[in-house]
Amino acid sequence: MTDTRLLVKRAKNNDLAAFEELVRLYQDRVYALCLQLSGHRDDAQDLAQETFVRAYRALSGFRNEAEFGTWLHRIAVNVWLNFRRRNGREFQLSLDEPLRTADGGELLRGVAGTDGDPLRALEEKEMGELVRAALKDLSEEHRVVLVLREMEGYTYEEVSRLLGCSLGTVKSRLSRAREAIRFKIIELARKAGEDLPAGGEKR
Amino acid sequence: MTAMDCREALLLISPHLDGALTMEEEAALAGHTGSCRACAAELALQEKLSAALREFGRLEAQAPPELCGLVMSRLRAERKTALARLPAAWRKALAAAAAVLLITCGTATGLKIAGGGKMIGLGTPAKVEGPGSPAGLINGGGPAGPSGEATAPGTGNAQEGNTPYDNGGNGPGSPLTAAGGPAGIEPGAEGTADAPPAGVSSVPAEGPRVLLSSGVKVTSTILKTAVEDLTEARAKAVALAAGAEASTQVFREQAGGRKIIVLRMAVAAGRAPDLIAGLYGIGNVIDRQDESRDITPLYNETLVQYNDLISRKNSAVDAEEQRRLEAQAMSYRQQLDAWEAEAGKRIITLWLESK
Repeated sequence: MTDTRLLVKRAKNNDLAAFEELVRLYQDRVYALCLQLSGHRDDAQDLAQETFVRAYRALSGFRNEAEFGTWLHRIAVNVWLNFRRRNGREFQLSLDEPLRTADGGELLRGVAGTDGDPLRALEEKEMGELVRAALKDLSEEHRVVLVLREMEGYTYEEVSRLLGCSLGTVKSRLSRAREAIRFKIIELARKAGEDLPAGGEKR
Repeated sequence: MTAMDCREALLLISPHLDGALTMEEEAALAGHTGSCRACAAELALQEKLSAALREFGRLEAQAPPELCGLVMSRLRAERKTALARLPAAWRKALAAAAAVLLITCGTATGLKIAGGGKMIGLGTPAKVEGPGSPAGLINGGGPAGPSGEATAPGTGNAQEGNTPYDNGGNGPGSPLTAAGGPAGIEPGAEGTADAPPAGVSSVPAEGPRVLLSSGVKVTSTILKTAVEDLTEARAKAVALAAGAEASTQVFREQAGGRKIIVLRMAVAAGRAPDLIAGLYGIGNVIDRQDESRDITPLYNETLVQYNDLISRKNSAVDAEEQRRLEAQAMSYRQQLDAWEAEAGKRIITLWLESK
């Protein structure tokens, strides 16, 4: 911890060797988040690279109020959001999202029970693959909250700081994101079920 | 508490997974799912999903081994770039060691058009091409070139008598120099989610761009200031820049055995006058240079070349050739990004030296 502080201090004084040490210390954490967000190794590497370059430029603004790794994550999230925005992908999937009507009233339509449970028969491993695929397919705002909350384990407060939005927004987005991924997974499981007869009861 | 209906129960599932429910809410949810099979199934499903996501989070991801090197190359290149943009006369004042760096990385944004497998950017060796060739456009993007004219790279230096500057090959690691982005442009510091979207310059994006009829203008102001206390002046300058929402890069250098600090700020044009006025308060301004260039023709020319490279890359059969073209195209794109990011902004380069 103090080690990091010292390195940050030196790096602030344009000591590139100190910054290099910081890159080595934090590259796995930054890369992991970039990989979770982008879902592609190449993109993740580019995003991570950009994150560190920006971090170096913004270093004078880092005041130790957050943990250094969290601060880097915040930059990584912004880099990723900008990347998505610039590539015009942001609305790609939100548009046909069946559950995002404005008032939230229809939020939970088609809810449990009506479609049986195509997931019951899935092995854990298959489930993992489905979740991975579904995550890639989510809109950016849904994916980012799930990644930060579930995969990175950040609290509501931390997520709200990372994304620069209110606690209430974090909670409602998470709730919607969980609905969204649930629908995607059911959809994917059905498709998979048509091709491969799932093991278990429905043989 | 009255019995909960399904709608209410389902809304509690997400906060339940986060452990964010009160005891009463937990009890109400448990009560409902105890008697409602549909909601119980939904809860079980969401718990399963949550567990799967958390499991992913536990997987170790190892950064590719080249990541660190790539980052550091870009940062080193960027550092050189900012210095290379100082007026030639000032650059001469820098210590010999720094001068060598400047010489090897060129004086301004060199633009060597496709063909020789060259990159554009600062690693490009100086080469004066015949009139009408794209090289005639050289230097257009260098906000801090020695004059407003379109001089070929190298000439500015040559006039200053820096003879070591010649056409002998690229500077060290020139592709990486190019990868640094010729201007080291930073649209907004971290935390500004709605900064202009030019930050991710290294992420391949081949979205359509259009030719511009006008409007890519680079305006820059260079202030040379003598101050009592370097550290204090630097802190003041950084604070002023932050107040004007400028993005700032800081470089420490040596000039003739004395320490100097160079700050490069990119600020919204409307806020530039106030920022400059504020910077005057830091010390005695010894020198000031202003310039403005319309780089639209240069931008368009580069864009045409970039599109050409992309289509050549896409039709290339040889993998090696493809990689080469891609790297080349990347350097063009970074230049375009850099220009876009700085369009409409004022670049302020502040040189601080102690009295």
